[in-house]
Amino acid sequence: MYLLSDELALIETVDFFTPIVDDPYTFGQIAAANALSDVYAMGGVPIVALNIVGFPSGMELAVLREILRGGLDKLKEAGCALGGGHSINDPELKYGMAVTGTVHPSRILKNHGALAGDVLLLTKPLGTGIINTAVKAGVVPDDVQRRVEASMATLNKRALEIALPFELHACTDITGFGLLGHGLEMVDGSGLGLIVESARLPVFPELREYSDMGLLPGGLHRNRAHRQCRLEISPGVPQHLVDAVCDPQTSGGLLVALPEPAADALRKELRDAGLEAAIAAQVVADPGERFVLR
Amino acid sequence: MLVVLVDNEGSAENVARAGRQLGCAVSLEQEAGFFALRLSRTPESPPPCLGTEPFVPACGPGSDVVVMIASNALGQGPEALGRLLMIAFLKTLSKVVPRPRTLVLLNSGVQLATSSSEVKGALQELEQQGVRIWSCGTCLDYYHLKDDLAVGTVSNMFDIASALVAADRVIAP
Repeated sequence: MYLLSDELALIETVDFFTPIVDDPYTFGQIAAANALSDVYAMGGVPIVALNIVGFPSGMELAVLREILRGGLDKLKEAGCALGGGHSINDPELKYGMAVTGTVHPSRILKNHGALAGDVLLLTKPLGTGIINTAVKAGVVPDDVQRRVEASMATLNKRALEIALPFELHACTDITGFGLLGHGLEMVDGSGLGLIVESARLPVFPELREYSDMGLLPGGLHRNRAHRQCRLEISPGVPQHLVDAVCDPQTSGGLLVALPEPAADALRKELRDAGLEAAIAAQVVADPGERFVLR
Repeated sequence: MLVVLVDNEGSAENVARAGRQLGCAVSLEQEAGFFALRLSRTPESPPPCLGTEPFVPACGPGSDVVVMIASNALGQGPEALGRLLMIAFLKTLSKVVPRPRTLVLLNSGVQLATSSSEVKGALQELEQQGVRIWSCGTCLDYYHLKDDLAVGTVSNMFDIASALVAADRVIAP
């Protein structure tokens, strides 16, 4: 965040990655939704974006056109201008954006600061890392793949707009560190802990099948190993739900911390808007500094 | 029993899960720098899939195998025996997996790919399975067999030498 005046701060963010889906237009949409999400997670409004492209020299230019078209369509949806961009010759295709957003300095949302008695509400189901791995293994039916792609391409714009009038104590978007990592960030330094009811976790239902087959991304294992000392798993929690909290997400949903009664009202409003919002965790004083999955 | 070697713990867990999902008993040992998983069928394992073709890896580490045949006979000893052994070797080669990527014929070995060869059928079968059959052009010229080549293509020493040095393994029976 960069403070321009007492009334206005800039948010600058950049994100790009290699294709996670085969269809170039969809890849463009997902990469843009993912890059824009960092602005929404801070409570901001994206105003201008720059494309970042690594493109292999022998590949058909029609592929690049489709990727850029997907990205531009998401920018239009976000009401964000495209200011240009830069491309380089790269043996491995990459696409993403540098995004500039604005926010009122007193209303910026932080990724920490959840309070005891809060709940963490998540606005998209978990499991994109596992399902994308299963897609690479060729075992995911088309309709499931389309549903997961649609979730990844969904902007967090609407979710933020609905959540902003509520008393939000913290907000972030779930990406590479999964619910485990990003959830713990929300209570870092506060001595508080999280309790996650595994039976109520919002997950793509197909996740179980692929988790049983061992189609788990490398980042999932790294996330679990990194937070191992704070992760407490009650007996009887199904393995696939342990995987769900460790699963790295691409263009995941917003995770917002707010008092429990307000969260129920927010959840209802999000659901009415067609978003698959669900309570993902409770913030508790005891056990402190733990992520308890029960 | 299937032994799978992987270089990290995450992959080891993934393979172990896949093994258990298929009804196998799985044991894991950590060895210097890698993890060895042993997957074995148990009496409770579901029956294996029947009627499917054996899995032949199309590519991947260790799969670029070149078979180099520099004579129409196999091994040293009576020539009649050597010729019989070569016929048996090539007929068997078309039945075993994994298949080599390339079969190189040199010197009198090029006679094996001509129209009167007893192993013409076996070589055609290998070719249909994707094996490249290369006969040395100089050798075909020497034996006046260029017009009689019945299987595979005429190659040259540059391509042959390149295939040999790039191969993961060269088999020269």
